[in-house]
Amino acid sequence: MILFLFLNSAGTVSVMSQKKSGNEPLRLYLNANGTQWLQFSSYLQLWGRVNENNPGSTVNDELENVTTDISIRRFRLGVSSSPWAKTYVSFQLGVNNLNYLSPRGTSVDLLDAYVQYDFSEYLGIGAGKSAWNGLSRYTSPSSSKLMGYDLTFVALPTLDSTDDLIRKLSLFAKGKIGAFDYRLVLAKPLSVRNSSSFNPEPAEKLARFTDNRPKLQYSGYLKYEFLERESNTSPFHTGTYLGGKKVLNLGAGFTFQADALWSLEDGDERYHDLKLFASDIFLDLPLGSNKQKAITCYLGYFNFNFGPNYIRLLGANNPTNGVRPEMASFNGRGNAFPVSGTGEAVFGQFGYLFPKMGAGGSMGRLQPYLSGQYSEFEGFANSIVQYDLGVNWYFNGHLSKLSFNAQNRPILFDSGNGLAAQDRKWMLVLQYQYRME
Amino acid sequence: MKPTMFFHPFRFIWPNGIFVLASLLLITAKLSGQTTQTIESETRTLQFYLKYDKTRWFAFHTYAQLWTRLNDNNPGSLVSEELQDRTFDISVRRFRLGFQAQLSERLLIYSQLGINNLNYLSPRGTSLDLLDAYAEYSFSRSISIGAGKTAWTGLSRYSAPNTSKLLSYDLVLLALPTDDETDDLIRKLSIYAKGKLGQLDYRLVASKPFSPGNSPNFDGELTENVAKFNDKSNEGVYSSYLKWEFLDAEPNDIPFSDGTYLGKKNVLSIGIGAEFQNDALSSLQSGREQDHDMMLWTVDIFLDKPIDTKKNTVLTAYLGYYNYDFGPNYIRNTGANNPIKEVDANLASFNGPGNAFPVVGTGSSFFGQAGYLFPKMGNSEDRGQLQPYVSLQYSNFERLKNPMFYYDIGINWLLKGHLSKFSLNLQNRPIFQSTAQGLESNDRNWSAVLQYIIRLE
Repeated sequence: MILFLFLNSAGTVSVMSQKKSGNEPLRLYLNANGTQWLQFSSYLQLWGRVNENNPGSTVNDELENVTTDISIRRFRLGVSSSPWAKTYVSFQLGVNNLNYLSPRGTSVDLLDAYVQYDFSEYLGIGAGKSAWNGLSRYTSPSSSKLMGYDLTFVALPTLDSTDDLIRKLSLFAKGKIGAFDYRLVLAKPLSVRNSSSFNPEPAEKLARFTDNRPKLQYSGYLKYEFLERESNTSPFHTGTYLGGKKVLNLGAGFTFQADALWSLEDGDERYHDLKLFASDIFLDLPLGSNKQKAITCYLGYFNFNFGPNYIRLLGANNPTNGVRPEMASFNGRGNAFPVSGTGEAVFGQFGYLFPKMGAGGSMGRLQPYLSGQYSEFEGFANSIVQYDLGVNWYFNGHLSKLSFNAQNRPILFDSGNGLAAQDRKWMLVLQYQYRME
Repeated sequence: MKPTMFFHPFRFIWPNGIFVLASLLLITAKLSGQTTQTIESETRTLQFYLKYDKTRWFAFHTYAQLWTRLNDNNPGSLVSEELQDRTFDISVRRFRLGFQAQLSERLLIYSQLGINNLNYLSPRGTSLDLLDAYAEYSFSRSISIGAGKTAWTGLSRYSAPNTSKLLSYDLVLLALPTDDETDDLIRKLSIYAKGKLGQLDYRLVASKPFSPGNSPNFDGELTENVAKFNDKSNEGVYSSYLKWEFLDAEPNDIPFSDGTYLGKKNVLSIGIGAEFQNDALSSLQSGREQDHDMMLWTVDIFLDKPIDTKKNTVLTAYLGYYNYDFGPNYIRNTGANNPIKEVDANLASFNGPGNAFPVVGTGSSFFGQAGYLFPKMGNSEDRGQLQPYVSLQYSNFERLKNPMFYYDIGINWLLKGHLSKFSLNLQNRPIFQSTAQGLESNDRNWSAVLQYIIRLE
């Protein structure tokens, strides 16, 4: 782990010094006045991790209490362009979770392929495979410009069910009207049968996704920008501007899909609409005269109705590949835990950016943060809480940063009067990220 | 004739006489097309020169074709065991990311990644495939030799179609008889020769066919008197296409034939082609296994004629005759980017699921296409050009009792030529049912597609 840290920080020094000598962005201007351009971007997130595995977790049928691994959480290679006026196109290739359990020959997938046309500031429309989503701020997260080490999973309730890594095949409209920023999305949901968590059998009083009635999915998000405006060229929301912008937004959004889930009620098949609602507030406030410091806060309220007792377990970049049923908790294997479900949840995040360290700021900047989620899901007897404590060390903003995160998650068992948290486990992640753009 | 190198790096040796005339014609076409090119020349292309004289370069291109579609499904079409009469979907019909480089005066390399049919039924994590990877050595204008995984193929004009520069919204499926059977998205592992001898443009291709055993259509069970591709043939596929260019010469630096030059060229070409594979298919004849050769030949004519050069109006027409022998009663149902994968056997037609219909088979076919490019719209602002078109195919397939007839009616709205265009296409296809008399067409269904193409190059 220490070696890992050392190697990474050694790697960043050269990136930093190049930056200081003034790197040109990877942007190619296609006309003389620079309004037409083509840009490459690429980023990589490397994880070194120690995970206290969920009870009964196995690796190749052997019990493993703790797993230490190294993985590529994300790799992206993108081309975006404004090849002529008012038109924007984005193509992005990528891979997630390339870890020691991944199949050999890990293919790079086409994540984004979409085009948008801006009629005016008020209205842009677009189509393709994209991460343009409604619901909440971090339902379209800029995963390389977050404050937390990783995503806000409660904001990604259909991840892998009707999405492919957050992306959907959709038509969208977006724009800014005064201080309002809106997005509306009409998506053809990806067939849930191709999801790794798909179960084709309906269960008694337990909603599951089905594609028996493949209807369209509608979502929208509206935010009011009290202070500076955020960019809406790409769908992705930045986690923190590191003092570069003064932002206060209040937003609300929804996702709706008729008959998206089904269950059995006394043996009869019953279809359930997917009805999700969220409301959130985001504050990114530079402090001091030279904007050397900043506080960043986010608070979101999520009200989800997937049908009876729906619970989504998620283990990001899961380091184990099996679980012994007789020892298993409700969580399943590895680092999985319930992140969303029918019910209510509150997610909050707070961070403080310290000024530059060292002579001339050569030692970068530190930003401790904490995140927490409190959830009352219908499927559980009690509320559950999960929290993250972390610190970012920015060598060159989001282009080169190291994050350390300690996550504490609940482990649920069937207690006799329902599922309840009876234990807690930690996961420690050291992430290094570089981004070229 | 050095200046022509600028446009076509491979055409640097021009024999005398008549070829000089042809090249002059070409240059004239270039000059007359200058007005339309000015707008584009303001924008730099993604071509980067490696030498000051621009003889060595590398270039990128990328394009995406986005579909929104409303399809009247074939009878019995299912999603998760629920009947679906009609499907609306949004999909990525094609995505390409290509790289080509002129590494020396004679060596060209071409590689392209891509994906087709990324729709709601696609597996998660749709991986990008290596479609093209080949190298080509040019001895002269009259002969270049290349090898690799490539779409260089013979048979007909649109057997190697330029999918982002078509007249119609999508391919001529009839011209791709082995697509997915012994090809991978039209590509084969091949060695080829090509060149121009005066007005004659030729290509000769020898390929190792992909094993049909890896095709999703593969059916190892032999059937009485119905030929199917077998996976035991160890034979090569040989194909060729010869084209006589009466007017402007078309580029032959990449295999793909354009659907229309939108007024930049004045083209009239007549071509003949053939494709052959020994023992490629098998059937049972009175219970005994018998192999059949695949013998395909075509003849086609292509006209792309600027009518009013000032207003940039163009008439485009294509007519092809296709004579296919795959062995007895071979037939192929194709559903492009099919929005349905399953079908209820009790309700099903012969077509199969979704939008499939019999496009290719043993028998003879005509395919025709015509379109007209209207003048530029808009006064102060460029509103693009409209181009309505029709396509139709009439086939007498041995397997079917009736002729197979389908047609497309469509319109292109070209915003930046082929680089940014919308196409709205209505397709009407026959539905075949098994009756006492044989396979008869007793119904027809529609499919409506709105496509947008964006291409960066």
